[in-house]
Amino acid sequence: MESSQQMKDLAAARAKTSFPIDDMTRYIHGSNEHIKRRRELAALVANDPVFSNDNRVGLSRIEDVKRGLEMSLRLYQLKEEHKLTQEEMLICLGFIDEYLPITLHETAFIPIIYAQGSDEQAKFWGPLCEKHQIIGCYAQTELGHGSNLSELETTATLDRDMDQWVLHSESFSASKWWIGGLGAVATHALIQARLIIDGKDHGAHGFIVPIRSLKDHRPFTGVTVGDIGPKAYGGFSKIDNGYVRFNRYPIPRENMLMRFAKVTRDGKYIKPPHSKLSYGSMVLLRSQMVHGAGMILARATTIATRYTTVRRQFNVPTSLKDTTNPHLETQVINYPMVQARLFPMVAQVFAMLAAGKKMTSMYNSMLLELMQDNVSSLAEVHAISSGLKTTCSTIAATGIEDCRKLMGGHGYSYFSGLSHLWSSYVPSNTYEGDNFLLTQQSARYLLKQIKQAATNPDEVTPYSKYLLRTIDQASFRAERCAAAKPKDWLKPEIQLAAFEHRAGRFVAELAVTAMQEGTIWSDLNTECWRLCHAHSQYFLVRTSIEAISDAALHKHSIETVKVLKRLSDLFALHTIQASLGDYLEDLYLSASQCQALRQQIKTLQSELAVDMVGLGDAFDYPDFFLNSALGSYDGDAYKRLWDEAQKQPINKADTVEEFKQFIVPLLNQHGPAKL
Amino acid sequence: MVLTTSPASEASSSKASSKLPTQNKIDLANARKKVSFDIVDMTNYIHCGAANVEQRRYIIDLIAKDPIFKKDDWGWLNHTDAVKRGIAMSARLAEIKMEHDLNDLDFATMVEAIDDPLPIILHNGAFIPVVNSQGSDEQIEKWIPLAEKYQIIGCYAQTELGHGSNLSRLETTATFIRDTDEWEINSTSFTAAKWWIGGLGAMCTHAVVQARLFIDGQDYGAHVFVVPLRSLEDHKTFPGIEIGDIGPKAYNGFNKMDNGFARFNGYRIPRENMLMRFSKVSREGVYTKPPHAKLSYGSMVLLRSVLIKQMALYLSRATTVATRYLTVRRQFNNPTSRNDLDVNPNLETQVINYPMVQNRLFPMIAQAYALYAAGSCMMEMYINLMTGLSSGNIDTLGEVHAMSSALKSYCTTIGAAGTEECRKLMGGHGFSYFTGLAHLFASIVPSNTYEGDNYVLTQQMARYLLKEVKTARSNPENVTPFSRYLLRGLNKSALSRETCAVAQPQDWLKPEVQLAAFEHRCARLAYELSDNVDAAEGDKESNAFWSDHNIECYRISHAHAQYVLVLWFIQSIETAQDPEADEERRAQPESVRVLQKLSNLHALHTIQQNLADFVEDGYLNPAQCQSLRAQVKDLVTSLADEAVGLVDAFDHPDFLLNSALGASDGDAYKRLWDKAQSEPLNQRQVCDGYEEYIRPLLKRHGDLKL
Repeated sequence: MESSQQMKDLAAARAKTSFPIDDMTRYIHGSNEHIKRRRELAALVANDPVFSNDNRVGLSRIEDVKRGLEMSLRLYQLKEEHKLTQEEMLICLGFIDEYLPITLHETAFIPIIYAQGSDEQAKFWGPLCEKHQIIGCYAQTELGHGSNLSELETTATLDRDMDQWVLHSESFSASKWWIGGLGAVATHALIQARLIIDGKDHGAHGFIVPIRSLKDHRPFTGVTVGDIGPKAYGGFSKIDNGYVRFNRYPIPRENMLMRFAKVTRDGKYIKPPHSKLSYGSMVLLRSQMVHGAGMILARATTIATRYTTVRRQFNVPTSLKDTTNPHLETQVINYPMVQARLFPMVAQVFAMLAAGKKMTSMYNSMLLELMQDNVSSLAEVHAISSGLKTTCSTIAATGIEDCRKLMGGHGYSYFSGLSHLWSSYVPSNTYEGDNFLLTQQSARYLLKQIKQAATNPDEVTPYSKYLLRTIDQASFRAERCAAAKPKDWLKPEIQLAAFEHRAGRFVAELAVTAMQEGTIWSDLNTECWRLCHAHSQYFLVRTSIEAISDAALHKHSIETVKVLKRLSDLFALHTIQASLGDYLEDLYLSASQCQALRQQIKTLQSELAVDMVGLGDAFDYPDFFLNSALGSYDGDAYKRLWDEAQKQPINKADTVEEFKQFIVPLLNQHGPAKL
Repeated sequence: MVLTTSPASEASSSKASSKLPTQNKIDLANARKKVSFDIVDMTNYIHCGAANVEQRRYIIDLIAKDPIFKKDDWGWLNHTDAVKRGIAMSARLAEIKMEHDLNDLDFATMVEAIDDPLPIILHNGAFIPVVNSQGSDEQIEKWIPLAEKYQIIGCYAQTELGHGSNLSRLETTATFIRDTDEWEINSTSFTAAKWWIGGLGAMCTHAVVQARLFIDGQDYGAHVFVVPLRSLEDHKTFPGIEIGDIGPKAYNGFNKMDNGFARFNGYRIPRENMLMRFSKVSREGVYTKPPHAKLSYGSMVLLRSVLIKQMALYLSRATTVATRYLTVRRQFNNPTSRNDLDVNPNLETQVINYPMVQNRLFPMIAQAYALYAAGSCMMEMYINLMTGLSSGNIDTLGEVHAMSSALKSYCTTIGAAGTEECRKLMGGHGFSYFTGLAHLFASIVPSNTYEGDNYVLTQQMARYLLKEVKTARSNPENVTPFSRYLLRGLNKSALSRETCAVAQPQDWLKPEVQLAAFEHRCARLAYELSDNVDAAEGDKESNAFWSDHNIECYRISHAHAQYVLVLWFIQSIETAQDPEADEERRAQPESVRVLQKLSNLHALHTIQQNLADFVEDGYLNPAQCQSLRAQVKDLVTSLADEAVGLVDAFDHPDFLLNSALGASDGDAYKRLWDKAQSEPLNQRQVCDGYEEYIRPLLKRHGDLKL
């Protein structure tokens, strides 16, 4: 069959790519072996009818959860049939691309038992979990409390006589809520409850709590459990986020996780040795979210790039006119406004990947230090990971939705693929630390560092060194951007200086306000938010500059490195432009530097234009995973959109008969029309 | 049914909640007491008079009482059931309209109350208006009575798979067949399929189809035709047409709407089915051109004006829900400077007391008020335009069309973004469907890409201003009212020397200072664009084209829209104090005092959001930026006691909000719990799918005893 114009357009764009795409794929995913294994696992999922993309949307709540259960069971079967490692199974879970009722069993219940359970507990519960003889979930959030752990209202009170904990929901708002896996599937829950012995409150601790009978799956007496209902935007539709309430429900004392804190048979509470140890897992989770944000946004930009390449609208000449097809309309991706929206997002993707890699290595070295009781880098790593979580997940969620809008009217079809992506991703802005609340962590940390800079300049941590410049306020205020001509904006030192100056100014200003008499910390949270993003952006720019030389060191091709440099430049300059007021209001930038900045961004965008399709391809996302009629590899957008519509159950003949019962009486209320 | 194995605990907790108001309810009631103005007066100001308020309540109540419009199970219908419900609701809506003989305004309120786009909406919203405005008198006489009695149901089919924004390239054709005096409708390629057409998928019997008109091989461009689709007897699709539903939409939005596709294959309709008020084709096949090419702009202006009003409604609903929930939600024992420690020393801080929350939320409340004012003003402009047009006066068409485009783009952008921001403000629980905001955003967000894509559309205002720049230079007295700021740029160096007059922080509160800032920025951007376009045209080497300026078009269009929004809000408050003004436009001094704060916040926050535009040419200096931020902060703080009253004043009943977290009594947690209990999954102790999937999973390694 002949290729459609859309297929031709995408192939032609692909052919223009300036760098070897497989080299870029290695930059993103690592070794050829790893890429090969990844593809095999993707195929395993894609070829299994249970994971078909066809029957995932437009379902009722019950149908949705049933599909989720069906997929869960099949995933476990695949694991056994193909002898997958735990890590490989999790990669498959990623390719399934749904939060499933068993997701939290794998990603929270099991890891926490191993991390916080004693050796005995791990030995007892671990195998049961891994053979799925029990299925667990992780229950922390309550109706009344999310961010503020210390005020949870679920209690576990020691009954010394019975050697039991009695779990109780102290009030209506104590109900556990949002717990993935709890609504339908979980037999056990890891419950965070305040531990109380002899009336003394020892704060939140983890307990393994049986929820449903292993015999008939009925909830135990004293346990009120159910599903919390549908989520926003059709998101998380396959998972049974649930609630639970306890009414004086007893569990054995040994069900408290006792690696760190312990309670003895006679009711003695033993404190954990180091209170900051638990920060480790939070840091890990947030570090992973940085890389994850890049990979998620990459899916959206890949889809939007492909579709706007094949979509043609208006016969408007732009300076990037497709001269080989003079009679066809202009490809949408050639409009400067489209480039100005889309290309910076691709640059953001690469910046987040670079920062994610850096975070992971920082986390790993911190872990080694922690094992030797060295906590010196913990504070910085924790602060940066919180800041980046908030900045990157905001960028990615906003970006996905903007990619959808870039696709114009058809972007609103479910079959764009971006609806599912965004609705699954956007809650990340409010979970694992609300993005606004979280910004206080970095701010607090940087305030400490600026004090350090004044008193112990040698002690200032690596990513806060710029604060040293703020100490001499007169010279700091006199700092001006050194860009004299547009090309200067491409110099890494000029870019970094701008970000350092801005973040430095914010920290110094906040320090002054915070020290004024009567200032209440939480009154400053708007300033914390500004500062946190400024610092995260600095980190992103710095790590993305470092990643370019790393790539050169790791023998990536010159062309690959050249594109990475352009992306890094675009990221830095676009980020400045997006907050331009910050750089202007203290005269750090002049009017002509702003003009030059805008000019340079446009130049970078036109240089990157030929590489956009190749950059999307480099992520190596299979069509099954993108699940987008408009963004598939072959570019056959319209044909695929048509085909998806034809598959819909509503288009079966018998639905007309059903609909008629409402329509025909209406038409005939005044008798039949004579036409 | 509540899944409990412990009746005792249920009984005790429900007893407790029925006797005493929850803390949540107490918190909202307390917040209400602090409001400094009369909420009823404010409501009357917002909705233009007590009579309108009463009528609106009456209509919404009519819908709320009708069981078919209940929203209880909307969260878990599958696609087919959702469309089926949409059709059933459509039929009922049509009946009510006929029973009560509703006028257009009441009908609009009813649609607002139903709160979900229905398959029948485009019948009244597009089919009838298009036939009315573009049909000849005989055609109107023939089709309109049938349509008004719902003996036929119509939709409006313009968008195709391959073309949306670019009408001139539609690939559906209507070819004149002289022998039989018919049009033959064809989809000339795969991408010619009509797509997205609301009402087409399942409900409609007729469509107004946009197709390119051909006579003897000559292409006369897009014209409109009334096309019968389905039999009036058995609702079967006629041969020669392929028709169906395009499937689910993003975010589960528009799920009761049967957006459809259609393909035509040699389908014949009579020649008289072409709408012939303007262009005509005679029996002999002679084509007569319309007298004025832009006459059909009127309906576009109307659609866009309606959207602006809709944004006021949507953003006011979103801020209502968020304000109430954040008032009852408490988190952390943090002292803020606005804590209720004196009253409730043991309770955590109300989330609405955090400055970051106020800084995000209150400017949106101000925007909602600004949008109400803008909605009325734009509608007035439209009505004046139509009055003018009917007497052959097209003088204002250019400006009104440009304004409606710029405002549509800007207002729907802030409307959708604001709704999602309100949802995020509600933290973790905001991701529940039961906030009501998921449904709201999913319905509102396509407005950013339909009725003119928000980015593409900004070229209209830019083009218009470029024309006005020329007028300003040649005939300054002919510059249209909203472009008069261009006159200050006639002297280029004077414009570049202008600086903001703020000397002390309070100066920011002067309307003239605010307006001057917006005018300066618009004028600067307009002249810069004009200079760049001229330079590119003069330079043959530059290879630059109009579309290369579209980033700048976007900037100027939004700058102009912001200016107009600020201006209209200021003017509406002036009117509210004017003893000469109509009663329904006036407000009491206490209300005016708060409205002024909102207007100031709206103006200053908008400047702050776009600060670089005002700083980069030296119009603002560093000290003015500082004082601007300080003023915004003060204004936000000063509105803290008013927020609950300001959203109550929007007068959105619980039925309309459909939000567990934002109900008027504030009982958020209780309602969230109750909503969950009603969900189908919770009607059985052991969920569907246990026998098929869970049991086999757990038992693969045999029975486990613990």
